[in-house]
Amino acid sequence: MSLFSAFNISGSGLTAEKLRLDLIAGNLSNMNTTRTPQGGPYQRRTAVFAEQLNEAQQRGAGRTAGAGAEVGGPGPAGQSYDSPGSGVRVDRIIPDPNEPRQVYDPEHPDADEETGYVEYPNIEVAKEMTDMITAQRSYESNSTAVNTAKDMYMKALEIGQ
Amino acid sequence: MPEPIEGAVFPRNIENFSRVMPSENEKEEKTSFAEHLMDALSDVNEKQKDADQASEDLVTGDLDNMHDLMIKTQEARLALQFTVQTTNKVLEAYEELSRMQI
Amino acid sequence: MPVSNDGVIGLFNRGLDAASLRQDTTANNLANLNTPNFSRSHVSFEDNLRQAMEQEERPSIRATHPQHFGVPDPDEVEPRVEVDDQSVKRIDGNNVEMEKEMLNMVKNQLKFNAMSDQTSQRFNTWEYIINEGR
Repeated sequence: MSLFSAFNISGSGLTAEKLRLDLIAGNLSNMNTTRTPQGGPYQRRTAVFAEQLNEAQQRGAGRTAGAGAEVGGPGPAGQSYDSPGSGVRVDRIIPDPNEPRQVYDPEHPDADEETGYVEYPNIEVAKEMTDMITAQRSYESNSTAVNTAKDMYMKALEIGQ
Repeated sequence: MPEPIEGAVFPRNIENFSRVMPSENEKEEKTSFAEHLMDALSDVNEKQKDADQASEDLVTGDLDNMHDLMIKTQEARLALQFTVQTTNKVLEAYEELSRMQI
Repeated sequence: MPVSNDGVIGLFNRGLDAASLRQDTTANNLANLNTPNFSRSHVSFEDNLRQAMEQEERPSIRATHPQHFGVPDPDEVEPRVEVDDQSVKRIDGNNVEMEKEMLNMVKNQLKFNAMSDQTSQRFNTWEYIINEGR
């Protein structure tokens, strides 16, 4: 546990949630994007988070690599450590696997020649807004944690003064 | 009333938890002020080394907790003050004694 | 050397260690609020310490032989991070509750501040005794 570990941990939370907000913003702004450089409509993107293991946990995870060590859980239940994990990291950004929305519009430049359907991204505003609120609340709680840690450090500096 | 275990101290409340007074078996007879002074100085030295190590850890980034450094620094400082003050008092007493001889 | 032997300052030191570790642990819980299959952790120290201190006042339970099962010495109780796998999990396998963590964080901060202040007061008292006592 280093001197500023509280800040690093909360900082990782801020970074991860900020990334999620960026992805949501991208999803919302590309709701009606039917054409991308890769061809096809824009694909909704989400982030998968995983716990950032501290050094001791990483050594342990390396020995017993399994499903549990990859995503989430810090270790077998009840195991004691001298320090908690080192925060959160973005494991990967995955495209939404669901099929694109099909809208019948033969006049549209991107309409399929034979069927007349245009493929739109499978993005719902309500879902994105809900995710956005969750991400924002989480961001705020991490920010509060940073301030709390700072308050405690300043207090410790006053010992003996 | 069971026999107390030799050498053990039984705290009754948080004040006694400090174990400031050693038990009978641990206390040794110190006859000279010089011995007390040597003990005090070595303690000051130890405390100062602890504080210096913590300060070094702060700079190199190895320090785990800020309060650790603050407490060690304070203890070193007070240990030194205690030694200095005690020595002063003894010297004052000695001077007063030596003035008494006519 | 009165200040070095002051067990109360040592006690505060370890209490501050525990509170510091608790802040790290709560921060980790909050950072992983949305991590799938993550289980929250907490710090255990105060209860273990209280048990050890209570046991110490009842000498009949003390181990008289090194190989007997004994109770821990209060001086040796350390803060430990323990994983809480038992709390109710959401659909994503995560059991962190933001409000609970925030509340714990506030309580912990107040306790840390109190211990910090008390340590300062104690040092000040020692300094007065050393320098002003006649």
